[in-house]
Amino acid sequence: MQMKTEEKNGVTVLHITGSLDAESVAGFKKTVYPLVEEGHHSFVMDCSRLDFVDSMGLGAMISLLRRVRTKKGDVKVSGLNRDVRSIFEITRLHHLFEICPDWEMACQQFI
Amino acid sequence: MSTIHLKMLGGHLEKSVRGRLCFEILSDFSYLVFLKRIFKGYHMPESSILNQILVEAFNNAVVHAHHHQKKQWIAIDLKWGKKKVCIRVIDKGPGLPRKGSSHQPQKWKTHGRGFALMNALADKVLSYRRQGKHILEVWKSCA
Repeated sequence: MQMKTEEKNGVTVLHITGSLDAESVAGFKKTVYPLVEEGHHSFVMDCSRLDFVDSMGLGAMISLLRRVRTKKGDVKVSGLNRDVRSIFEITRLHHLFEICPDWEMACQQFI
Repeated sequence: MSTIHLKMLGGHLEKSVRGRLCFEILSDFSYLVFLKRIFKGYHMPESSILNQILVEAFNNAVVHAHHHQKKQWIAIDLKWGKKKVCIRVIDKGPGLPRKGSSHQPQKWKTHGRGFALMNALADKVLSYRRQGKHILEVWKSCA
């Protein structure tokens, strides 16, 4: 997994490429948890280049959401491909996360 | 450059529609890169779903059977025919709990979605013990 972070009008956008799975969750947490501690509480996960997520990757996403919700923040998800969207629906995470077509639209939901 | 420690146990391909691949790999998440390429490499139908099932089954063995001990071996036995695929993951753990494994966890829990995913994606998920080992056997039809 590769991840680039970008600030857009007070929203932290995480552009994720590749797989968010058991092997990469440690790197994901290592990057995002310090951001939460530094005061970033509005996140968009741009998943337009995410081609695989497993249950441990989903767990890491929920963990981030839990952390920011305690700070009155939110995590929105965008750009899910068909396979990843299907995994979200099977595990009912589409009820937990707001899902947007693209990351720009997701950022606008914070305004 | 990382090294893949892999013990080939057997395998054959027949007319490209039937095949079997058996091997052992170490109980280490770094092997996911390799596992995720198998079904796509064989151009299997439903390769994304098969891929997801294999990864979830492997993760289960690493976490729940071997408790992240990287020196333990996990046997993978993949068998496919014209209509069905069988994925067997063999570990040294106690096996699945009798109750609750197929149910969705509470929505805020960060663990426990692997079995729910496998059950939703596969036609049949079996868990049994044989010769002191736990076998997770998953069947999936693919036209």
